[in-house]
Amino acid sequence: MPESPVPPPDVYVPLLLVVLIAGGLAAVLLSVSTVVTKLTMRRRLRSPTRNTPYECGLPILTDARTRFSVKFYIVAMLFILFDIEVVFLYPWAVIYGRGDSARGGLGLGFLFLELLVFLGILFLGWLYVVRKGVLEWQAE
Amino acid sequence: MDIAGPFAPVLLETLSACGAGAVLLVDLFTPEARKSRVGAASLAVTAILFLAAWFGMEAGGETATLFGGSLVLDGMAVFLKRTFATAGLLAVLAAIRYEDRLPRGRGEFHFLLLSALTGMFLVSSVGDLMSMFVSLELVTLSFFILAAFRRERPESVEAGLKLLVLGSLAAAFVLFGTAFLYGATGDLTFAGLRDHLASLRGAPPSRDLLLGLLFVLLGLGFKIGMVPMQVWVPDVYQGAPAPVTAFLAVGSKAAGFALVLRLVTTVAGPGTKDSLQLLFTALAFATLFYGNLAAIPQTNVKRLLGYSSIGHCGYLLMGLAALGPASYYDESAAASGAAAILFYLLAYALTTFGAFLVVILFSAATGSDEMDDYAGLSRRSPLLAASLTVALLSLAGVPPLAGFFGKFMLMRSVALTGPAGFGLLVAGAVNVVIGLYYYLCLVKRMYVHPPKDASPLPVTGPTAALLYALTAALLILGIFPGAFVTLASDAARAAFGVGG
Repeated sequence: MPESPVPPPDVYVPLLLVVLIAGGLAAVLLSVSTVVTKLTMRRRLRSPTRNTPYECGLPILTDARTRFSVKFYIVAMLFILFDIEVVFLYPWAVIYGRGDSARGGLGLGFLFLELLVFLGILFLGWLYVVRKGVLEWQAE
Repeated sequence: MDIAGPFAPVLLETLSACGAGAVLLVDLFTPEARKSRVGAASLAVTAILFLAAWFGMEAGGETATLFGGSLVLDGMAVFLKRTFATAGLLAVLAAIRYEDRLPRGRGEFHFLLLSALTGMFLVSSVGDLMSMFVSLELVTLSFFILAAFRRERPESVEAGLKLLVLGSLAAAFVLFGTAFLYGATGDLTFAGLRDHLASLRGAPPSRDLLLGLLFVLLGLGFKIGMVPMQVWVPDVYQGAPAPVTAFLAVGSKAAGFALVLRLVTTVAGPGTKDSLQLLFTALAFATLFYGNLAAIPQTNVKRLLGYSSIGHCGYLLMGLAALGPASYYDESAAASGAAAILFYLLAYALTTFGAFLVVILFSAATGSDEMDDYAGLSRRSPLLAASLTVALLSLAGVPPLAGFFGKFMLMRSVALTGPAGFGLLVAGAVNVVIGLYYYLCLVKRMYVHPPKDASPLPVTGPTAALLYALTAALLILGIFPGAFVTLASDAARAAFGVGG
């Protein structure tokens, strides 16, 4: 049982501090950069080149708001899925690395088996993706 | 017989999850010309599950828990798992008769059926609110896709979208209520909730707790098609592929009631029974009359069965209204209500699949679900007409069929609560008559009206055998219900803590 279901209001003070610091930092940085630019720059501040988004120095080809092939999104989704699934391996590795002391009555062999089950599910997903031809980009 | 030892609470879940993966593998490595193998693999998986549930699990054994109490295996869980395994087997048998009409994705269709089934197995033995939410969502997410599976038909897409939007809303209700319950008790497990209520010693629980309970019950009410969360039912039932509709009708309703029963057996006590009894009586009234009255003007068979399923939710809610008011509170009435719900769900599963199998076969042959096209079915195919008639009569509650005994048990449990239940009893009886009227309207079309198109509808060997088996099951469950009633009562008595 926790001591009280409703926490006292002062637990939110750190949250308030974070908001204040974030807002204050933005305000300070923006005003400092504006003031410094006004004082040091002599040329005109607004020009077409200056208003383009930063693109690693390459000239911009087209607008970014166009339609992309749905394949980009599928690959992006698959990437995120597999990426997040791999994240689960880290906590497993930490517990496995602690060895006998932290295994909670389950043998290391059992923990390893659990990982194999997890990887098996992942492998099944990968097999599904490959066999369904999601990664083949050449139109037939 | 207990074949899984300490892992009995996850036996069926593991088997069906592995089976779903195996079906997907079979689909990946089968050439297009031999896709019927996928259905065969899926059938093999559900047959194994069916055998494991009915013959590989101990019904009266000790209550087993796993994973820190988040999964519980007691008599109620075993009974529900058996119901779900039966429904899963029937769903795959129905899907095999339907899959030629799927433009693509047979493997995915069977995979999703099995993943929904895995979720239902989990639902029947959850022990805390978080695993309740996760397993419930496993069921619901599978059904979102299954309902929209024939995406070339606008009605199917409409069904999937409605289920998605309203289902997400219901999930939000469940989560919101869960947050309130956690806030009020500081514990997510059902056992912790029970301990918290016991520590109040009969005093009414806090408003937060009641509010949380109400939200969770409303969210679950969506799954069972309870008024006021019933709006999605007719549209989804009509638009979804017929095997999905049947599985949704049985699976979603049984999964929802499994959780409502778990929650009610947990929280029912001296401090809450008054409010619970009043709530469920009112809900049963509204749901009974809404479902049965709205079914009368329907012209589409699937839509008719959708409204009738709302009506059946009303009958099932009568079992919860049997909790009884404080002055008359009787644990054995509450337990008999729960037992009646368990038995009714099993009978409803068999009956619904009996009806939907005929709907699937009829629309495969004629491409229509309209009631007017069923005219003269008895002359075109006596077997189809007879099977549908038996299933409809069982839904209506005519003896000696399974549905009659289920309704009898529900009404008996309400009668046990004394004078307070009389109003509900009368409402139930009136609704049986209303139900009989619209079911018999369809029967009359099949037997009295002349057919528009007199060409016979042949039924092949295995399909005919399945229809005979389902009809026989309805008769057996109605004439010899003893063994099943004993199983259900033992489970319910254990859940309510009533001895022997």
